[in-house]
Amino acid sequence: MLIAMAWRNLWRHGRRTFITASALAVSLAFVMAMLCFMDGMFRKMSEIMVDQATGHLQIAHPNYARARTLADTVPDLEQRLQTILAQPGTRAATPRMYGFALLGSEEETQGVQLQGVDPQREGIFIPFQDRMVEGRWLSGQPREIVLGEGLSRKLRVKLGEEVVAVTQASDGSLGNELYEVVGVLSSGSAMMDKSGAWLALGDLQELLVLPDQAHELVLLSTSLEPRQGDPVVLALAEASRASVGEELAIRPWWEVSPATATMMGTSDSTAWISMVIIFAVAGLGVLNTMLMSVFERTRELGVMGALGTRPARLVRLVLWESLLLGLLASGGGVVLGLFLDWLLITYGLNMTADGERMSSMGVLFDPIVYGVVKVDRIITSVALMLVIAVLAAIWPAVRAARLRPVESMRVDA
Amino acid sequence: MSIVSVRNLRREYTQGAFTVHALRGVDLDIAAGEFTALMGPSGSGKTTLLNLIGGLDEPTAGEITVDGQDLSRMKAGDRSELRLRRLGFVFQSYNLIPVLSAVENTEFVLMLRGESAANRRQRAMETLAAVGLKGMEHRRPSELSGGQQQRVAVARAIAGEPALVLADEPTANLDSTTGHELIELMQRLNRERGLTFVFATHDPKVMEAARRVVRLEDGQIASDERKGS
Repeated sequence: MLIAMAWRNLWRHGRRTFITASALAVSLAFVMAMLCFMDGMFRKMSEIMVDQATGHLQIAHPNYARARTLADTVPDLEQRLQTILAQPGTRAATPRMYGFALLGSEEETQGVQLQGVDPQREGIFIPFQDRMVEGRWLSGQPREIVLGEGLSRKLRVKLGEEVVAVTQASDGSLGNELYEVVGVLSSGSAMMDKSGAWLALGDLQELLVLPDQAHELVLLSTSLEPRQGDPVVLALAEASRASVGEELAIRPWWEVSPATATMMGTSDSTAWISMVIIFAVAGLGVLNTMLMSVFERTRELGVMGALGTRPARLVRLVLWESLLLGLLASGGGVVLGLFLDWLLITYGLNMTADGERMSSMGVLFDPIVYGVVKVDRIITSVALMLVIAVLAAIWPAVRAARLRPVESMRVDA
Repeated sequence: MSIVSVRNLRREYTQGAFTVHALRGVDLDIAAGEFTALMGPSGSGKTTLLNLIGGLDEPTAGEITVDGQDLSRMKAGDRSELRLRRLGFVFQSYNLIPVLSAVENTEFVLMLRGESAANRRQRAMETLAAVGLKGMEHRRPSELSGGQQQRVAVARAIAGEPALVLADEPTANLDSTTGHELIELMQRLNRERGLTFVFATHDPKVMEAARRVVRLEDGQIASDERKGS
């Protein structure tokens, strides 16, 4: 009966209820769209900054991360790679080797960072095929090189032409080799585009005289959206420890790139803060409506008190009214929110006016961010909205409970 | 046996710099089954007395015992419980809950007492029939005339079989015919069910119907007349 009363009380001022519920519904829809967008952004960040850049786990010589000395490598690479690929929990693994060299074309010379990769395995991490501006990705044939977009411009080199790399090898000898430019790519990293070049791991091993070695073994776990402290990643780290032994360092991505971890961590708290602010504003609307509603019913609430209604029951009545208002709003809000989510998933949101890629922490993003819908996010937002609707009604409810019947009944109806 | 016993009851209000003496030492006993009218001009203290007997207000001094319980020593929550279990109220302007139908208004008090839905509905229907509202059970107050609304208010007051029904100017908003019918209804309930009624009223018709008339003047009892029965 109390709930029926609460429901009917809502419709005594249908228009006011409708307006307040609409404000709540719009705020819920807006929060849902915001979370959908943020989760899309989060997944993209996770793909670009974790999956593609650091991987979920990195296995390297314990000194390599600090000193980045050429000779601090993962030895017995092939055998270790096979062991790691065979262990459960590894989605993918690829070796990477880094070296600095002078790269010269017929006209120009530039200092470059060389990356030796396994063309097939690396392709699982980074879709290089899709990032080619010209030519093609490495085929696995020897003496092929792919240049960053900016670098190719600086070197004024064309596809099919040769460049020469000169460097000091790990044994102190002078390494030099000719490579054919087979492709130019836009890597997603502004720095790598300006000074990066990719070649087959075997070629770089040969140039630097580091046979069957690499500087990093990069692993992907089965986790789709890794978060700091992700148990899936930690489990893979433990399995890898058993596979590779004690002499190598195994670091999860959040240790490799703490800045990325911080950024991804704050995106969650940003979502919460935004949610609370938006709902708090809508909650003020509920507070106003419920205060008015209690004020208008002073006499009626006084009569209820006179008949023997306990204050706690009057509190419950007002809280129920607000909760029902919230439930009404959540129905409309979820429908509107799902529509906005559908727009974000289907069409995405262009983050720049001119369609240029946007950059964050040296990483280039596509300008269009596509939304990601998560059911738990929707449930959380609806629950939070309902909690705020009920919290907003506490003051009016307490006012209703504190009314003294004999005084309230003197108020004109 | 007295259902209401009032001793040296005083009630003072402060209004700005003035102290209003609404009741100046009232002594009154009301026996079970009485049909009593508290009469007197505006400001004589009759509504104040009714509110104090009903546990809606607290006295400045004196004692009030209702149904054997000392109201002057009770906490607000216990007074609320007493009102719910033992008292029925009829107010001047009906004061029905507008969102509830006649039958829901009638069973409201039973609902507060925690009675089962089926049980309270049956009692509310019977009570509405007893006050002559059969067929109107599902109308909201806005769909009922003033007289009908006041009958619902009476039904609400008596549905829980209270020890005492307190009625504050119950006929004041009704035309004379409807007012007369309402008094007859309450007389009948008093006769047939032995319900104790106490009215605060100006209405000469109520005075005629009452078997006891207590006149208040300036917060004191000026006269207390019982009619032969």
